[in-house]
Amino acid sequence: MDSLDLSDEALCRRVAGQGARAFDLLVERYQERAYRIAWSILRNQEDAKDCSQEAFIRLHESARTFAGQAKFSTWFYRILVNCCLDHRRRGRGWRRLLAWRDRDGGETADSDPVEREPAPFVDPGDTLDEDRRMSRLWKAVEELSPQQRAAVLLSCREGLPTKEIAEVLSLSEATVRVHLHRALIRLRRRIGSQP
Amino acid sequence: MTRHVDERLIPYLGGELAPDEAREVQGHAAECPACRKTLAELERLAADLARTVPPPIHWGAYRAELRDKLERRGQARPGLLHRWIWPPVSVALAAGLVAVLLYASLPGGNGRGPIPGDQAAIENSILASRLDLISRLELVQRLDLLEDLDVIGGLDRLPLRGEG
Ligand SMILES: [Zn+2]
Repeated sequence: MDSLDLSDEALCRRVAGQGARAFDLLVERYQERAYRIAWSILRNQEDAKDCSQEAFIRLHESARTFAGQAKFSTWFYRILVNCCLDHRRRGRGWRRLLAWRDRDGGETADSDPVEREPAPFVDPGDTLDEDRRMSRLWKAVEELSPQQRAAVLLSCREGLPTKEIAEVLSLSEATVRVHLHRALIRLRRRIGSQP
Repeated sequence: MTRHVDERLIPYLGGELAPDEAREVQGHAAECPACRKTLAELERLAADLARTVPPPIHWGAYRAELRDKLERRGQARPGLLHRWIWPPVSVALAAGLVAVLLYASLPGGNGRGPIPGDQAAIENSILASRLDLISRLELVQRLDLLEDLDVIGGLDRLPLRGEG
C-alpha cells in the first residue's frame, strides 16, 4: 500500500521500524496543527517552532512506545503539550527575573522587551477596540493555570472533545470539565462584556 | 422557568450534550436573559480564541530545520544512532567471527589438510572482505590476531599433559 494512503497509526508504526518516509509524511500531516497548538500555548513564534519540532523529534525517538490503543493524534498531542508546558516552566524563572528588574526601573510589564509580542490578528476589519479586547483576552489566557490553558485552547481552537483532552492531559473527563468551566468563566469575567 | 443552565453551557457549546439535554438548554436560554447573556459571551469568547492565527511560517524551511535537529540529536546521542546502525554491525561482526573461527578450526581449514596454508589465508580474507563491515574493524585487520586463529585451529592437535 502507498504510504500516502496509510493511517496516522500505521505511519507511526513504520516510524518505529525506522521508516524515514513515514516520518516525513507524519510531519507534513501534523506540522500546522503542532505549530498552531504550540503557538497558542506559548504565544511566541520561535518558541512555537522549536517546541513543535521538539515534539516531532520526541515522536521519532519514541514511536516504538506508541501502543496503538489511543489515536495517534491524541498520543502526539500529549507529547506536544508536555513539550510546551515544560518550555513554559523552564522560561518562567528568567522572565520573572526580568519583570522584577523592570518593575524596579519603574517600567510596566507591557514595556518589557521580552514581553511577548501581541498576536497579529487576521480580521481585516480590526478596530483598536477589537485589538485591545483580543490583547486582553490572550493576556487573561496566559494567566490561567497550565492545565486550564491547555484544556481551553484544545477545546476552543482545536475542537477536541472532553474525552480526548482528558487523554492528552492525563486527567479524568470530570477534571477537564471543571478546568474548562473555571477557565472560561474566568476569561469571561476578565473581558466579559467589555468591547 | 426551569433551573439555570450555567453548568451545562460549556458542554452545550462543545456539542457534547445529548440532543434532549441540548434542547433543554436552548429552551431555558430562550426564556432566561441571564443564561442567554452568559451563553452569548461564552460563544464570543470561544470564537475569539479560535480565530487568532499564528504568524505564518515557511514549511519547507521548518522541515529542513527539523531534519537538521534530528540529525544533530542523533550525533550527540550515539545511543539513538547505535540503535539504528550497531545492531546490524554487531550481528554481522559476530557472525563473521564465528564463521572465521569455525572455518579455521575445521580439520584442514588452516592449511594442514587438502587446502594449503596460503590458500586458506586468502579464503579467510575473502570471507572477511565479503562481510565488508569486518574490514572496518582494527581488531580483525591486525594480522597477529589472524595468526592466532592458527593456534586456535591447532588446539585440538596439541598433546594433552601426561599424554605422549
Ligand atoms: Zn438561567
